[in-house]
Amino acid sequence: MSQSAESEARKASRTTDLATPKGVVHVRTRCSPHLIDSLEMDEGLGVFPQYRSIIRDKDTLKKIAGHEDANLVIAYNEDGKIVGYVAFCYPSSQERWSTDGRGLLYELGSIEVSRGWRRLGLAKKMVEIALEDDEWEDKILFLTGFSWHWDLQETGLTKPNYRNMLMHIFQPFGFRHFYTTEPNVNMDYANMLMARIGTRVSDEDRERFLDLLFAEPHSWEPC
Amino acid sequence: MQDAYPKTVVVKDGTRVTLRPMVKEDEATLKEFFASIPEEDRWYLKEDVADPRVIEAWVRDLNYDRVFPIVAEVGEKIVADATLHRRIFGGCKHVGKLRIVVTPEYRSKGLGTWMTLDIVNMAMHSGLEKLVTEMVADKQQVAIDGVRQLGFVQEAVLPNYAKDSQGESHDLVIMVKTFYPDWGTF
Repeated sequence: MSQSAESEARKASRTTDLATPKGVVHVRTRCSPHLIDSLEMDEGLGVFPQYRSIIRDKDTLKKIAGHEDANLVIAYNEDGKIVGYVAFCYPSSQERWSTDGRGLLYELGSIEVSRGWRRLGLAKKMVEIALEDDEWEDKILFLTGFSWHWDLQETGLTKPNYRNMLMHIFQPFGFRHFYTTEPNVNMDYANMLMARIGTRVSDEDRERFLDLLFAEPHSWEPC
Repeated sequence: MQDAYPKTVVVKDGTRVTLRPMVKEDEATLKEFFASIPEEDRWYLKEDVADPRVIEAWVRDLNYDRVFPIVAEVGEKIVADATLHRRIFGGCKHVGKLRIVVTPEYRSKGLGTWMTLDIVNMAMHSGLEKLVTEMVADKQQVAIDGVRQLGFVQEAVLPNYAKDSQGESHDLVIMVKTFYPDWGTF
C-alpha cells in the first residue's frame, strides 16, 4: 500500500455499535454531510430553560462534517436520531492555538450527549473510537472546558463535579490538565484545558506547546 | 488527583517550573528553601521554619488528607511551597486553608499565581466549598492583590491583630474564595 493510500485508509470512517439499556447506538467517525442529512436531531439536543446545546441543528453538523480537516463523530440510535457528537477540528484562526501553523495542534472542539441518553457511556465510546487513529500520535490534541456550556440543570452536578466528570472521561485516553494564560479558560475557576500529547511529538514541539500555553496576554497581573 | 502531577508552568521570564506534591525526600531541599526566605517574611508564617525540627516534623508526619503540600521546583531547587489545609471533621470541614511561600527570586513572575491556582484546583477536586487565606495588610499586600485577582474576596479584617518583629501592629486580612456550585439565576 502506498503512503498516501495508507494515510487515506487511516482516515476512513469507522462504525461501532454500543448496546445500551435504551437500545443499540451506532457510533461513527468521520461522518459525511450525507449521513447527517439522513438523520434527525434528538429532542434532547436543543434549547432548554438553563441550558443550550452547543450544536442544535443539522446544518451546523453538516458544515463541520463537510470540512476537509474535521472529524465529526456521531452517535445515533435505531430510530435515526442523533444522540451525541464529538467535533474535532483545527483551531480557529482567531485563537492563539492556530499560530502553530503546521497542523500539530488539533482541537476537540465540542462534545455533547443528548439529554435522556447520558450516563450510558456514549461520550467515552465516541472519544475512544475517534482516538483509535494512529495519526493522533503525531499531534497535540487539546480541549477547553467552559463551565457556562455545561448542563448543570439536567445532570444535577455542581460546577466542580461536572469538571471532575469531564476529567474522568478524558484522562483514560491520555489527556492531562494544563494551566494556561488563555483568558477565557481563566474566566471561571471551573474552566479547564486538557491536552493529549502524541507519543511521536518531539521534545521541541512539547516545549513550543508550553510556550503557547503561557503566552501573553494573562488575564491577570501575575504575582 | 495526585496522578495529575508533575505539572509544568512557565513563569514570566520563561523559566519552566515543576509543581508536585511534597515527599519525605524533600527534607534537605525544603530546609534550604526556607533558609532562603527573608527573616521578615518568615515572621508572619504559622511556624518557625528556620527551626530544622519543624521541617523534619512536616516530612515525617506527611498526611495528604489533612495537609496537601505542593512544592515548585526548578532543577533540584525548591522555589515555592503552597499548602492546602483540610479538616476531616466538624462544621468547617467544607473549608480549606491556603498558605503559600515563594522565594524572593521567583516573586512577581506569576509563580504565586500558578501555585494558588493549583491549590484552588485541589480544593475544588476535594469537594471543598470555600478556601480561606489570612494575610497581613501592608506586609503581604502583593499576595493579597494576587489572590483577589483569582476570585478571593476580603471577608474580614481583624484590626491591629498581627505584630511585626518591631512590635508594631498590623491588620490581618481574611480572604475567602467560594466555589459557587452553579451559575445561579439573574
